Amino acid sequence: MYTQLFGHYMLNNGIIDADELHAALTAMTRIKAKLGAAAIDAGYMTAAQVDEIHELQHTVDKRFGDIAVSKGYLTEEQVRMLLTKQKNANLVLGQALIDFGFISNKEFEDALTDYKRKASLINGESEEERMENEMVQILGIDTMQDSEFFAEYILLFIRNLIRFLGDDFSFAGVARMTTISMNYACCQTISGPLNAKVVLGGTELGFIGIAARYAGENLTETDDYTKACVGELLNLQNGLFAVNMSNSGNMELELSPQTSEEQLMMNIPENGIAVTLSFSFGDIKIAVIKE
Amino acid sequence: MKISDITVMICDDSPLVRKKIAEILSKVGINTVINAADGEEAVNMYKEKKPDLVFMDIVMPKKTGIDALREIRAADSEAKIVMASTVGTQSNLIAAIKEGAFEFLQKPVKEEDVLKVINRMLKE
Repeated sequence: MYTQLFGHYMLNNGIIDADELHAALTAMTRIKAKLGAAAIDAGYMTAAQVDEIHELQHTVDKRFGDIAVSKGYLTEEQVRMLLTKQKNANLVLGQALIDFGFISNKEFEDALTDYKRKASLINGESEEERMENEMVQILGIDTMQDSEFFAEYILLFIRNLIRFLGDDFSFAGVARMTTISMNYACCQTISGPLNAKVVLGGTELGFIGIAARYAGENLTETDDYTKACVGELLNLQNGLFAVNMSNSGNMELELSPQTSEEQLMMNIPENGIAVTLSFSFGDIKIAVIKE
Repeated sequence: MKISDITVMICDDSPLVRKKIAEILSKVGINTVINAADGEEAVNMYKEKKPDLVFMDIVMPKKTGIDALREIRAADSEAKIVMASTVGTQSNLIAAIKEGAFEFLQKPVKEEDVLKVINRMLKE
């Protein structure tokens, strides 16, 4: 989740562009964060100190941690702790951007400091509320009626996508009061005290990508099985949303069986939203219309 | 009853879910599996094949899993039906208990959950 939020922050603030973010997200599975990026993230070292040690490594055949300890920048204990954090997703995105040369250690440090400051909890705010507020900002729905519902629903969807498909995606766009199109899509309605229609789909590649990752299989066609896989992910998302509403909101919701559509053109009304996410395998769209 | 003698019916409109549950069952040695793709087919298939255990989704076309559970239990009060659904809401849990479900599993179904159900069934 942090990867998407921090990635969006850097994109939104012009630190990187969409192509750079996409390249870094695609590379994330292949790399792990270096000790320098982890030390900056933990606040143990400045970017200048990290750059200094990288320079020294050109002339001294020693590991980063050993030099940092000898210079008094890190303790042995801190090195051990940082080594355990090298695979943290939040660090890996920064490392990928540094490795590609899209940002420097200093730019990473500045962006991280600013992001953490802006993402810190405000008086009495829970972590969940903060995430929802951040989602409202990302989606640009702060003036929208039912913004809380949309933020909560999309936040849960993002978490499920990370859990079941992976975290190599970024926010590519938010559409409201317009017409959107999807080559392939699955639809489901939520009914009860709250009524909504939800659609998950995208380009052909995006649609197949969702199905292949969710099923853990090598799928190449948009056949009935592929459609069923996407439909099941949508059903799982809505089922978990219904459970959350049942547990926390005393709201009993029902779901319709999923249906699938091709070449879908969909009007997004005032009380609806469509979010495009760019995965390394293709673009996908989530549309939610509250009725 | 030996585990390899158990016949299981998986009722879910998703072929992915049917396949995943069948794979878990195969791992524990259950290879006699009947598939049904909606609630109506499940009721008809149950009456015809009398499986020892049923995994039943709730949100399905033609007939919901809760309705199918009710009809099967009305025909066979000993039927062991495990509700396996993403929609574990209070109302569905209550309905499943009221209609005599053997167990309620939250999807995606995990191997350890299936094993617990099989073990409980064998003990009873």
